[in-house]
Amino acid sequence: MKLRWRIASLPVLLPLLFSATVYGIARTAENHPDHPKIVLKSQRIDLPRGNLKFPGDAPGARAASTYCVMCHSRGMIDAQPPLSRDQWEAEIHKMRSTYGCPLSEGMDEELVDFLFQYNHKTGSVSSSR
Amino acid sequence: MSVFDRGVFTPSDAFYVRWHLASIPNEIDVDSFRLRIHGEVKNPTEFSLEQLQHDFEPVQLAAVNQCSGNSRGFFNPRVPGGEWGNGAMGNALWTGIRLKDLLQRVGLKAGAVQVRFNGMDSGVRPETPDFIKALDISHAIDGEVMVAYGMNDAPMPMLNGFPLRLVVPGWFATYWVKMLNDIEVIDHVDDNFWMRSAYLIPDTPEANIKPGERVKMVPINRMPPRSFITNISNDAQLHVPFVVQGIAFGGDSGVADVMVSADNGSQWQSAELDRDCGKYSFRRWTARLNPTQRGTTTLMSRASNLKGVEQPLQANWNPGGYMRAVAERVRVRLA
Repeated sequence: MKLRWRIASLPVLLPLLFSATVYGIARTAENHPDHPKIVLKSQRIDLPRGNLKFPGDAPGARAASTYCVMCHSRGMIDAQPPLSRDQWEAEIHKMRSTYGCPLSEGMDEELVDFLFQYNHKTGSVSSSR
Repeated sequence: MSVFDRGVFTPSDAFYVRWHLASIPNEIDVDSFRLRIHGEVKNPTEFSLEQLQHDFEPVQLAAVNQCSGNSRGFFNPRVPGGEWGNGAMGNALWTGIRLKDLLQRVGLKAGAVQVRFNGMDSGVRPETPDFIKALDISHAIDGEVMVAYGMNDAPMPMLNGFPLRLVVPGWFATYWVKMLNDIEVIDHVDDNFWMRSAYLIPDTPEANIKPGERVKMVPINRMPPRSFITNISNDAQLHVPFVVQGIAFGGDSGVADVMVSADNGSQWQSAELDRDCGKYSFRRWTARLNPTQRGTTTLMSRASNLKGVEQPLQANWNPGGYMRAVAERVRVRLA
């Protein structure tokens, strides 16, 4: 759905690439002969859900698939560089105390175990450059 | 970098997208939408989009929008967070109205200290701090900060914050609140989570510290200058002479010059600057290089801005992965 939305917007946007106006600072738009009037119409978009499931049946994997993905996709975790156990513990603490993750503290050790091991399989070792 | 090689403006459908909170309205009705302005103002008002478009003078401004964590993936040692390459930035032509005009219309009370901006996104959990950013009153009424409804001469796309997005020229994108529907003038310095605890940088030159070092932290603010080679990527094979081109921006002021090097920074020559689209815009540049050496080498570009700030040659580091502005390098092979 997101893809469709993007494709639909292409014809509107492509002509802009070829516009050759000289742009001043905070120019008054209405005084500019080339300025197309921007007509606002109601918009709707369907956002992709992303991958929400971590592999495996370990308690830590199930916790990650339940709690981590309440606010962000698995991709956010997949993209992390290799982090230490302490760093994962700090992340879990931040998610609970700052953002309100309802994970009970009794689950922390299993989730740290899982994220640490998972991250060391997936974590990007060097930057993507 | 290839998307930035296509022109000085970044197409909206190629613009990076990043939201903070997971509950994002997926539908906006233009007739019922209201922008509420309240707090330390004489006439608290809810404006319709129609009023904003017709009762205020429209303005346009070219400005770079760059995520505070752009290039975080290149930090060494690595830091957790959104692991961006260099693509979390773009240059667009924004259309909207001056925040100053809006605040003048509602009338500021004498006690006004800061202005808070809140968008329609919210957390999944009630405990999640709502995403709110604040600017000093003097900044808010500087005539440059905009409430934009247009991006690249078209309506603001949903992904970029339809129907309204705050535009804070020269400042990092964390202040460019998307789906803006609430402006509150307050009589104190905002201490909400997103100003007090998040998006903090070391109060040191280039926001640079050593890992473990503890210093005073301040909210991230103005952007430093940056430049990028856009037509040559790592491991390219080039025949001498060759043309190198790219983009630069000055951050909070215009681009003064761009220097390029074909030998990892030993010798530099000036690039030719393309047309000026405004001091907050990308500026394209070109240079023809004719080095004598052959084989593997490193190309560099280095911009300086009109305030005299020049890109550093050593990368900065801080635990948030913010404010990378080092002169970037591209490895190539010359034949």
